[in-house]
Amino acid sequence: MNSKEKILDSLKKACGDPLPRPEIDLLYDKTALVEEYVRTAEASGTEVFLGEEENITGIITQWSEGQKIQSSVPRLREKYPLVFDEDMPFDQDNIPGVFVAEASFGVVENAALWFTDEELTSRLLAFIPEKLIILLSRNHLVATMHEAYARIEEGKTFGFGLFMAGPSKTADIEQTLVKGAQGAKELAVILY
Amino acid sequence: MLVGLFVPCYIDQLYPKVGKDTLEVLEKVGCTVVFLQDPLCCGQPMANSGYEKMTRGYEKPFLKALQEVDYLVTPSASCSSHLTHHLLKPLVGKEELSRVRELTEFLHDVTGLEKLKASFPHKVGLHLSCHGLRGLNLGTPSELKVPHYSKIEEVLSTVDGLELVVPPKADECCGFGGSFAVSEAAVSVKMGSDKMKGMSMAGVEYVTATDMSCLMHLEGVFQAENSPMKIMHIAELLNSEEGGSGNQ
Amino acid sequence: MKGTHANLSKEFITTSDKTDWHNDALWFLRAKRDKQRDTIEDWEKLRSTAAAIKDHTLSRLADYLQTFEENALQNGMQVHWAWDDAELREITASILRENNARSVVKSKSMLTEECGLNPYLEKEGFDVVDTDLGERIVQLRKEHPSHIVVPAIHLKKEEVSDTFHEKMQTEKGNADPGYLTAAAREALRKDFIKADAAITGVNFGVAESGAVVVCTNEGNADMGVHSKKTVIHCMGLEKLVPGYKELAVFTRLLARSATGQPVTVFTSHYRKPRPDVKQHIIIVNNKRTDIYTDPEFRQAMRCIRCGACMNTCPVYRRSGGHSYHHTVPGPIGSVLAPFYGKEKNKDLPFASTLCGSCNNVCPVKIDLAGLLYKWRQKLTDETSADTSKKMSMQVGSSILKSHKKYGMVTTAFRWVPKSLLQSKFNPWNSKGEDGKKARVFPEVPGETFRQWYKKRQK
Ligand code: SF4
Repeated sequence: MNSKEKILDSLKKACGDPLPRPEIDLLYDKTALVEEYVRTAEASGTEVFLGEEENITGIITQWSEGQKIQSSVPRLREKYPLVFDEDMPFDQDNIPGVFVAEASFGVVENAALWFTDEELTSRLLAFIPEKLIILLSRNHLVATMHEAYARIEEGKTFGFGLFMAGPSKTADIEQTLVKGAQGAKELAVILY
Repeated sequence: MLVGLFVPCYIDQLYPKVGKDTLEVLEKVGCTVVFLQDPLCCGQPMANSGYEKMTRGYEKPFLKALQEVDYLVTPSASCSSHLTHHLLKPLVGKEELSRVRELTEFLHDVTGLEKLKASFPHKVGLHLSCHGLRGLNLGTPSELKVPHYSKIEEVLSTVDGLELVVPPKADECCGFGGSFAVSEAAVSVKMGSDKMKGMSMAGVEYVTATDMSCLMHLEGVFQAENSPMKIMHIAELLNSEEGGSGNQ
Repeated sequence: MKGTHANLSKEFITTSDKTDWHNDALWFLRAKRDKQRDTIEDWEKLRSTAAAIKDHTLSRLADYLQTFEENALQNGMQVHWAWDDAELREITASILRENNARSVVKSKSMLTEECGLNPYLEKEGFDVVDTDLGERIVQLRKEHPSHIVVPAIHLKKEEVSDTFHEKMQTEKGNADPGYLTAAAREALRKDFIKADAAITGVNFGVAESGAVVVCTNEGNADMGVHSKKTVIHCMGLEKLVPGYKELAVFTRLLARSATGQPVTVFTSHYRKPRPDVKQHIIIVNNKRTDIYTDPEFRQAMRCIRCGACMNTCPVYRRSGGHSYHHTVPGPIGSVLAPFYGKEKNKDLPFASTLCGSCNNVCPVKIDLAGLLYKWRQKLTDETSADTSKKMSMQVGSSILKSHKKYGMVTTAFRWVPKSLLQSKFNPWNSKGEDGKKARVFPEVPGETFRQWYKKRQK
């Protein structure tokens, strides 16, 4: 018997009667409130801008403070062309100073933003730039992770999927919270 | 109502007053009380040390008593919890198990508090002992999100003049833990000493609990550290007439 | 015995000035957890749902593992099965060799810690860099994590500063956490660039989609996974959940219970490798089937390694993670440890007052205190007993069984001179660090309750 067979065999011998798959039936407010999202996002260390479609680029320019901007958002690509090269991921010339992406949706209870390969184009782009600006439509908010995963299940399958809730952080040294451990040091969301 | 009083071994030996006060409180609320001579110990000291098997036979006097009395009451939450969660649990049904009660729980759930009358004009800190709180659900532990209640506070609210203080971390373990107190003495004493600091910051004169074992440990630490705080079992408070207008 | 919890914790308490500080640091996490709990109306139901999901998954674990494997293969992942720690080590090393990888960046994984992966790979000539900051700190100090979520919680920032100064030439004496974190980031960036392969642990495996889910706050797992051509995920076989619906429950519970955050900063779902990338999943047993087979202990496999039971444990907080001398410390560690060596870990189930606080914070409602109690009963049977303890228990239990003996002891007890009861021969009178008595034995009253009752009846 190989290890796989040995493992499965041991489990099958001992498993007993199968228990039913439980209903997930929890009580909570299912309305996704913008104000509540802003609160959880700010608590996560995210800077939130309430914007409109028209002033998105204005906010981006202002917040980027002259750094190299690249974007995966189709309507912004022309303005902020994407030069990041996955095959040379650490090549400083190709890493954006600021990366702009659009989240597929956001979760109110914990400020998590959902991305897949489609929104990111390169997976590493969610981690390697020092600053991220994320566009999020007010119509794309869900209340909790329950709705979030229901949406993921209904949506297209993905190769890589990511929830990001705030800039990279650590509190590994004496519990002192420090932003920018390995990933982005700053995260801004433009809620439009 | 016929109540069989079980006085655990260490209360019998070291804190007989707690037994007396329990008996008198039970009589005060109108129970006919018989002291159960036969059971000496619930078996917890051995069982918690991994020698449950040495307590075979311990259940017999309890089972016998349950046939003779309406309730079996004890002034020790940890003994009550050991009886209902371990020693007797596999042997008797739910109904019979529910006739084994710790004193506070018994007063709160069974007799009601109307007839309680005591007075103790002091600031008393409440230590929420683990077995009472998490074993017998005498109140709501700080870990859970459940509507707040406290049987102990309700029972103690009948004592005139008693100013009850529930300090922060009142439900953190005092560090007694049976043989843990000796085998892990360093941690045990440290926990007791932290409990002492919490109580003394709250400015209390006395510390009370539903368990004399916790209090014995705390008393030992208070004395070693020359703290002026004293311990009082909840039964002692419920039977106190200090400074009261008197119910003689 | 030297390395027992009792001795190691005594050392931590009496020879370091860290106890109170450590206690507060962990209580801070517990308090944050309580705050997050309060934001969820149905918190207790969320916990019981999580427990039920795990029990369901465990009851069909073999099926779910097979479904998981099929889906992962279809997604282009490669799947391996390791019976024990040695096999995990060998599979990992052979994947690395096949792909000519010499250096590895690794994100946090208590499983690889449990399986001794780092020392093995190093011995085999690979460079391994732990990239989680806390783990990197303990790795540089040649220590082990003292906590499963915050591995360097036992260290003061000055100690970290000294280590970084020595190993990374940071400014001497600069112990500012911001400064130290930035220095680590810079150093680790170089390690990320240099590495040939990435290894991660796994928080959840989603059977119906074949995805492995990794939760971090730093983003260190993703830095490796998305930049390397060889990627290995090491997953304990208990990590499965049926589908995304169930995953939702756990992503709501994990970080709230662990660090009091509403969710970890990054929750990464790896399903399909990037083009030209070889991505492997190693499903690891290492005694889990033993735990599974024991009907009483199976519930320990619900554990999602959140660390909440450690943060709340009054003993853990005061004694430090290393006093548990096992990879996973604290209440759950003491439940698991005897499966990895009864004799050497027989003290751990006794390193608890059974206060039950861990049961109440555990997001999957494991009866930790109950399982510790069960271990105590088993271990006194199945390991060499501490004879003096066993004898005293035997004597005690026989006295408490017999009225005659009890009566004799009652009398004798009152003859024992007070000076003896108050002396060092009474183990109750534990000594503190200064050699002074740390706990005093109570005064023995003249008569027992029984004697008083007899008189009263007359
Ligand atoms: S036993 Fe429960 S509380 Fe402890 S680490 Fe596991 S899941 Fe968390």
